[in-house]
Amino acid sequence: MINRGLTVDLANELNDSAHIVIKDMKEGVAQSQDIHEQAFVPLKPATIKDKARRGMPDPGKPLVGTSQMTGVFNAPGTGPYLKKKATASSQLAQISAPMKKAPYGFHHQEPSIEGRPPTRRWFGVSRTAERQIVKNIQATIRRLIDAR
Amino acid sequence: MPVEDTIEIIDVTQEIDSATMIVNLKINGAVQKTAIDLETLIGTMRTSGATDDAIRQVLMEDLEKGGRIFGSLRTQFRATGDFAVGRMSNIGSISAMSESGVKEYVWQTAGNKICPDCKSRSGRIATWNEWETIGVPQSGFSVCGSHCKCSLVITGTQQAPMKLPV
Repeated sequence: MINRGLTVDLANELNDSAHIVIKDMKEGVAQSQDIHEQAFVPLKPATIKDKARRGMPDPGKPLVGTSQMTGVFNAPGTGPYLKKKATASSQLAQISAPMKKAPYGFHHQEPSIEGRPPTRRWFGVSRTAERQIVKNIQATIRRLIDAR
Repeated sequence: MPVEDTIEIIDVTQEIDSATMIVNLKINGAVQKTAIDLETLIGTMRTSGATDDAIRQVLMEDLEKGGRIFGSLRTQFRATGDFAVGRMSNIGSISAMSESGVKEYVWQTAGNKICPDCKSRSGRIATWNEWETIGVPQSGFSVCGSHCKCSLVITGTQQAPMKLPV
């Protein structure tokens, strides 16, 4: 019988959400799209040439190089990671970028006065990720209501 | 060398090292509110003689349509996500400005409803260290909390409070 409010512990869903966001960021970079789902500013020919010379994979793709920053294409670099896991007592999941290994991630994220490098917002929560997260949380709540 | 041919060189500085790039996923506040709303709704429906099935149906509809109870869960989730990214964006701008020799920053209010804390700082000029001591925009010091949309801009470029699209 439904008598009281639901006991809602969404720690698992929050951690799942964090993984959705991380995956979405990596997919975005792999597809050369920013967190607003717009195409990245293309690289200049000289940059592509330089990246090719240094043997970087996919030299034509912006933000894909050593893989330390974004960790795309199953490369050795981790890219964004789950810094803090949500628990029952602390319903907070934190995602961070590898700021020690790839501090330049910040330069790509934010506009610089000189305009170089061009802003490519790769870190954040896209609407696609948000929709997926809300869908997952709704599914969990639906299961909780059904179980009553 | 023409600008088109330059390579995107990234100069990493100390300021960047101290910056943080974090997205917070937090819905705790909304969950508590949702739980209270649920208790009230269920209590009211129970008193008026509603069956379990009827209550379940109302809850499901609210969940599907983002109604009074579960709608806040979605709003709160979005607010906290945007907040963390906004804070990050502010630090990035300051870092870029300080690299270019900017020493003082003016508080730029933004948003359709400006809280008293931010309003009192509108147009005030201070150095980065001073702002950091008393609280930078979107750091959570103000009553607007996670809804703060203010920023620090270069002196002389401040405008009337920026309106945000509804």
